[in-house]
Amino acid sequence: MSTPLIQVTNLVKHFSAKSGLAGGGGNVVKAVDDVSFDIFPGEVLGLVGESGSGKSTTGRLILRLLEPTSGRVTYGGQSIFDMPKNDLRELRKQMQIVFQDPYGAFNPRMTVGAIIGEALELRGISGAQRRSDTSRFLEMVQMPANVANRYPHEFSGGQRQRIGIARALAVEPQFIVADEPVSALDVSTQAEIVNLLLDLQQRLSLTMLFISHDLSVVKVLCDRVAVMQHGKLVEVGDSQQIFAAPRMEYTRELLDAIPIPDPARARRAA
Amino acid sequence: MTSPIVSPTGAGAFSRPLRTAGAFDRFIRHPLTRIGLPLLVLLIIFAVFAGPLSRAPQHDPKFIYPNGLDSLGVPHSPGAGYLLGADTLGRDVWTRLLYGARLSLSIALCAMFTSTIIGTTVGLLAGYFGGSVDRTLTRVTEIIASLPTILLAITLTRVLPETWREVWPFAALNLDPRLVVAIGFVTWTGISRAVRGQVLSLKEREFIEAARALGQSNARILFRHILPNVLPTVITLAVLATATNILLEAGLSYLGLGAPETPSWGSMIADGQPYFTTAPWITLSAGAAIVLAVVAFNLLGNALTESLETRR
Repeated sequence: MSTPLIQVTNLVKHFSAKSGLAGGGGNVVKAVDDVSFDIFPGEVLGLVGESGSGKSTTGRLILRLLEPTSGRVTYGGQSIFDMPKNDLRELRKQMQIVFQDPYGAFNPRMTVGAIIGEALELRGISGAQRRSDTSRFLEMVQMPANVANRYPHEFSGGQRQRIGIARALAVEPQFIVADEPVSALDVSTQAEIVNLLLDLQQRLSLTMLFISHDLSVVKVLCDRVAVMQHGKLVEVGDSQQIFAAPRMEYTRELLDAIPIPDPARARRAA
Repeated sequence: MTSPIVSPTGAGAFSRPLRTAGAFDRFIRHPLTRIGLPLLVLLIIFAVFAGPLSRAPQHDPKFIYPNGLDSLGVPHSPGAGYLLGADTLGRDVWTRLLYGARLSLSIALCAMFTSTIIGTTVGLLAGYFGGSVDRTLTRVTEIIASLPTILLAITLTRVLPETWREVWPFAALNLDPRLVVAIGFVTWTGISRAVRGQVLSLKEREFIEAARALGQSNARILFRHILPNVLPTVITLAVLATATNILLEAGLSYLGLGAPETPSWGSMIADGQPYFTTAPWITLSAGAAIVLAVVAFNLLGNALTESLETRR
């Protein structure tokens, strides 16, 4: 395989749960505890685990939306934690995030056009070019161009998630962290968004870290899967291998939690 | 919208963001606005047209009428040309009241801008940057808030340089900028605390994280993403602060700290006080003017609070 796009080495993030006036001696939550893995160009890596396992924190650390306690993350060979702020701001155009909550992800005072336009502006695109590019990115997520004049709260969860994807794509990134992008949506919309992500990933040859607690979604989308539990990485491997023969007990438990859509098969399995 | 459940704002019953769609309508239709707004409009008309509305032909608040005081020195009572009577020097109370409205409103509004600008800036910076910036600014805010308002304002009016009075536009308006700064400086702390609190919760929202992930500058995040979302709070507090400012201005000029030659509601009360038993109209009309102005701004402030109330 080629050289990894992203290398995560011994990543640690502790949150101190401050209590009392002095704030000292509080409990330390080890959200991410010595995690290392690689993400290769063009692949979709699934990051799975129960809630509170540290997967979202890991995603945010990789984008340096959080500062780590220790450890190293490199993007294309550059260490992102040692990078000057200005270089980091440039690099941010290459790595984007799609959020779980399609309600909180947009400034309620900006129209969809302004939201996407703002991202385009960072690439120095303005005027008529900005308008046509806004339509192009909306089209890419299968939204009509005329939604640009409307506000995010006028849309359904699935539509907002499309807008969120369009915003992330507008800076033409190579790498996207999708932080539980479908878990706030109802099941019928989930499939649409998963298919859209899969389609875009292939069309634009994106590298993606797909964070989810839902293994049935991960199975469709991901080339490889990393499993986290209590801040630690328990298993990394090819998607097929993990789903066919999980090495770890925890992974097996997660797999068993996938609901079986066919009642007859479910009875047989039980 | 065909849904049987239609919220009063017209949008879906859930997912109301911070947007204030229909807020203006709600404000205009609010019962408190219906009392507060006419009062405010009246006050503004008085202040703007103080000249033409005042007693003809002099139109001068400082003009001493020959028959203003009777042979015993008692001020002329209301009536016979004196709409609200004469004051202790024989000047027309109605005329002085109108010019007092001009002074009171301009000082209160200028001070409101001062305190809103200081308070919003401090609150934004403290809330957004957190850490030591927050600790320093919050301590400063707390120290200023803990000082007695009137005493601090008195000290400031005395400490600030006399030369400020010649500064344009204050000289032209015959306003004492020291009074404006003093009042503005003692009322910004409430605004700053409220703004800081809002920023603290706003910056945890994902759209701020999204802006950071895009590589937006702090300045842009503050002005484009955070400021517009705290503006409803700022506007409401600014209106309520104006009411406080009117009271403070009246208090300070009652204590003799305003410009001596300009008629002010506070100084009218101070002048009329010793004559309250013989000429109550002097104190009462100035007092009523203060009450009406303060009530007007408070009603509007409360109407704003309720109509700009943000839902998510």
